[in-house]
Amino acid sequence: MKLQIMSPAADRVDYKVPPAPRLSGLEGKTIGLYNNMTGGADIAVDRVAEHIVKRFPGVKIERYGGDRRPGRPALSRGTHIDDIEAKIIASEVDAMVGATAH
Amino acid sequence: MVAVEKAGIPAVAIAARSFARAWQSCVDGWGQPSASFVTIPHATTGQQSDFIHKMVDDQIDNIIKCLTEIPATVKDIRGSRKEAHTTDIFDIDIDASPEGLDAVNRFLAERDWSDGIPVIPPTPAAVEKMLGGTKRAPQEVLMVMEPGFGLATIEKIAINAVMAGCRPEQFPVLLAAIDCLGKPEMNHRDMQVSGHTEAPIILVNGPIAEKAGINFGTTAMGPGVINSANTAIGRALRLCLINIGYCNAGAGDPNFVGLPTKFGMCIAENEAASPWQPYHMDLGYKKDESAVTVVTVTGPTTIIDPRSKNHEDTLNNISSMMFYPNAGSGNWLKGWESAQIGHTNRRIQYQGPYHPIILSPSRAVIMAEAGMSKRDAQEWLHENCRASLKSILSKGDIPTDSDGNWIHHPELQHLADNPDATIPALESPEQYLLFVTGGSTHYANFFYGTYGIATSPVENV
Repeated sequence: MKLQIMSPAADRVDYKVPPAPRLSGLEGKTIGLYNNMTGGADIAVDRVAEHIVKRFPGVKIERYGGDRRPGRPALSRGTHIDDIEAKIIASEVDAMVGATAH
Repeated sequence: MVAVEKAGIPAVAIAARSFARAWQSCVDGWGQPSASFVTIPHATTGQQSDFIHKMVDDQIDNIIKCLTEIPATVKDIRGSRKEAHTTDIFDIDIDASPEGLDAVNRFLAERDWSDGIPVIPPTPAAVEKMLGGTKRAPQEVLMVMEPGFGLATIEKIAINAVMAGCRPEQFPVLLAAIDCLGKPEMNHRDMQVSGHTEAPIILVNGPIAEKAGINFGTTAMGPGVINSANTAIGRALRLCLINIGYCNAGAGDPNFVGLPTKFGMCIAENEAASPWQPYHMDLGYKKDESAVTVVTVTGPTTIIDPRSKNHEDTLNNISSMMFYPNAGSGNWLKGWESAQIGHTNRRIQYQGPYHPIILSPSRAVIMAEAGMSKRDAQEWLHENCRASLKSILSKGDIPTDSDGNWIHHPELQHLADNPDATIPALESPEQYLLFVTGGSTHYANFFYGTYGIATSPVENV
């Protein structure tokens, strides 16, 4: 026999964010490093910076996470980047590398 | 990172491999399932620098590639709909064979729509009967449940309630619990996605407890037929968190090892046996009104108290079991906790944590007989559960103004140089949430509150 059951899974809010355009290369760009203040995240992104600066000498680095920008939210595991903060970051750097899931 | 992509620049995340499904679940919810990330074999937390360097070295080419190449489309987001639609109904072949009897559970398990334990089939008739337990409209949305940003309609909650074994008279308790989760001060996002081990506990007050058949006596938080309402309501909330919030084990829920209390916790106060007024009356509800409180907690720790001869022995015994280094005591010096909700990560603040102490009536009576009100007991705990200021300051990050003055509680800054100074572990006495229930004997259970707390009235059907 057949038994009918109803789906327990909810509809989601329809919300889509398309991928941002990618860089043609890193030369001369400013790269943001975001660590969410969990243990070792700063070490991970600092290592990324070492590699990038070595490979692409003209690159500049900006760091985010913690209270690096007085007057702005101290970004952390509990305080994520919000839309306002993201716009500020996008005005300061060309791309972002983050250590977030630790 | 999706917020950064939304702002127009490419982003890539480094994630521990064990959190890969959690990452995918989160970016699904935030609307970009193809968000770039690379995985490393282990979490960086607790690792030496050289080891972290090696893990990053192995992925640096992929990290750079993610900034220069558009990520491949991963898949459609599960459950995403452009328009409101009716609930899908599936035909399942069943029969009396062992396989046939398990067909519904297999169907649900294949879609990760279960807590792993067999469920009651949510047939349209059973769901309609459950909806009879409320006057609220089936398509009313109680909240948007994270991390999946699922729409918690009354109907979807009813479907999950049927699966958990709830009865219609228990449904208003579940709805009130989800009303609690929808309040910003509940901080349900962190409850759902944190790697910490924590789970919601449902505390019930008022006449609804008896009406719903909730046990508030011996074994009430354990297994057994007399606890079926407690079990079903607690389980129903977990199924909602999974199927509406998309907080699936190993994905939206990345707890490092899980927690048995995550299967569900629901208990009512033993109001008749308590010498004190019920918890909901502390909040301003009337005795004949019903209310549900949800707290995110870890634990419990059982406090065994057979040798206490008076109220101070009991309180000393309770307080000795509650706090330990790194558990957040004294964090109130940093101001109220911060959390975020919604696709914009809107910031909210809430006071936390609240620590439920499930007191046997016997332990409340020993205090009441000494003339202590509940408030007296809370104030005793507030005064006597203390944390070393030196140890709190050693963790750093006390917010200061440009002159170095503490922003929160500047009146305590003069103690900073005193190595022996202590402060109350919690900011306020009411954060010791004394809830009297269970059989009357020499025990208490202490739950460590981790994130938010909220209370909602229960609909009078």
